[in-house]
Amino acid sequence: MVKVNIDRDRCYGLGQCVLAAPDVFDQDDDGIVWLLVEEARPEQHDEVRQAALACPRQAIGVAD
Amino acid sequence: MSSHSAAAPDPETATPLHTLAPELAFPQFERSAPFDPPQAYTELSGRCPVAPVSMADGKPSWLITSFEGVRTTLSDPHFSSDMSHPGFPNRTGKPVDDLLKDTLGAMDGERHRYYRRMLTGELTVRRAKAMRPVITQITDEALDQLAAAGPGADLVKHVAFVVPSRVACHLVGIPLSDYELFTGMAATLMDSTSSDDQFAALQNMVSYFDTLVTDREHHDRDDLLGHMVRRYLATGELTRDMLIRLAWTTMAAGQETTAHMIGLGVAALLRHPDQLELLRREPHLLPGAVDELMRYLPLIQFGIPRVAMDDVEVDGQTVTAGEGVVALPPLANRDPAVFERPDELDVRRNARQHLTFGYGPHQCPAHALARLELEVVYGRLLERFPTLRLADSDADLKVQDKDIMYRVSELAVTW
Repeated sequence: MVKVNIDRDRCYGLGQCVLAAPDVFDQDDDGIVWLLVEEARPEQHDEVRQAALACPRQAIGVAD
Repeated sequence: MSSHSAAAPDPETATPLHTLAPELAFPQFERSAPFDPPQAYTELSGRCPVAPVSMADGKPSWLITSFEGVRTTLSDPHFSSDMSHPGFPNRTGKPVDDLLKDTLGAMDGERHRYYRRMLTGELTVRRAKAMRPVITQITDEALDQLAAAGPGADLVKHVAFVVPSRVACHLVGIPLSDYELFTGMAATLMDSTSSDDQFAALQNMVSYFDTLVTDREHHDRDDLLGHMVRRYLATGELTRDMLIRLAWTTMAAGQETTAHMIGLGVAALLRHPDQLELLRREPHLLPGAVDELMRYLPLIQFGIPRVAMDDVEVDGQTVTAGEGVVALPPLANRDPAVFERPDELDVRRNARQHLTFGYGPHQCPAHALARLELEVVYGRLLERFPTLRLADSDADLKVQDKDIMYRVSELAVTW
């Protein structure tokens, strides 16, 4: 399992993470990210890392 | 990958820009192949990813061509989008375009964030996905027109220019009956060469949107304008002027960009028949193919300009406060440190990180919608015309290669 954390203050609501890992990230009505799960399952690790890389605001942290 | 802020500048690398001989004059246009960036950039990128260049007005700028350098330039808060700053790169040699004053692309920091969040709520991934049926319907109607025009028809005219503008009209809330009127106004606004004509076109556009806003003050409408009137104009968070500016610039930004990706993207697929065949056989590859085409195609001709408000290190080179930089995504998208075999079109690759939508706070807010439009258009086109090919496979592509976006001006297809 990896722990996922997000910085909602940094988030600009782009939704790159939602495209990369739709089972882990979602957006509220202002587009700001929120987490569907706090820990990603092994089969989601790759997607979560992709999401962290794709985030244009570097607002996603991934901790093993 | 870098952290969210660049390393502290190293005085060793601080060479004031104005003391350096320019590596080249910007922009360059000569290319050896229709889908590659101009050769001079490619050569320079391998040698010097942060290079001094001379701009059209004779002033120097740094040209940034590495993936890491472009990401730093577009995300580090020490860089500003303020076009009126004396150090801001000027690619045309003409004064700053009044048209773009106080638009989202020219704002920084908290003010930018304040207005930007009003748009992002309208452009979430969920909103984009909900538009799939509408996008499919608009696409199918355009493909009907292409079919009706018969073999040899121009895909740019019948499909590339039609789909994005109809989708944008639907999103924002422009009635289909006004479609011709609106696209005419937008074209005049974008293509005007005299500032008087442009000012007149802008007045027309603003008064047209003013009418739409008034309508939404009296009627609930389920579209971007209706939502923004209710959520932000009614509460006083947004002035009428700013609402109108956000609305028309959103419309303008979403049309030609996507249109050129349709035209150039289809041209690239038709010139890479093995890749086209792969997509036909394995349609699940389409979303990834959209990103790969966006990575591979050198759409952005003049880069993304910024000015340094403080000394900041970019890819090992210190950029001094007040100096201009131009980030060039098409070269960053071919950085071998990030993409293997970068000069090959490979629809199987994961190209999600490409920088054609930009990066950082100004990244295209409608990327999810644009991606979906392209996925639907490429997908429906291959389904509907399984034998699609270039009408004249030996002829050179008709490209417009001197403008703000590199594109095919015409694409005659047959089936």
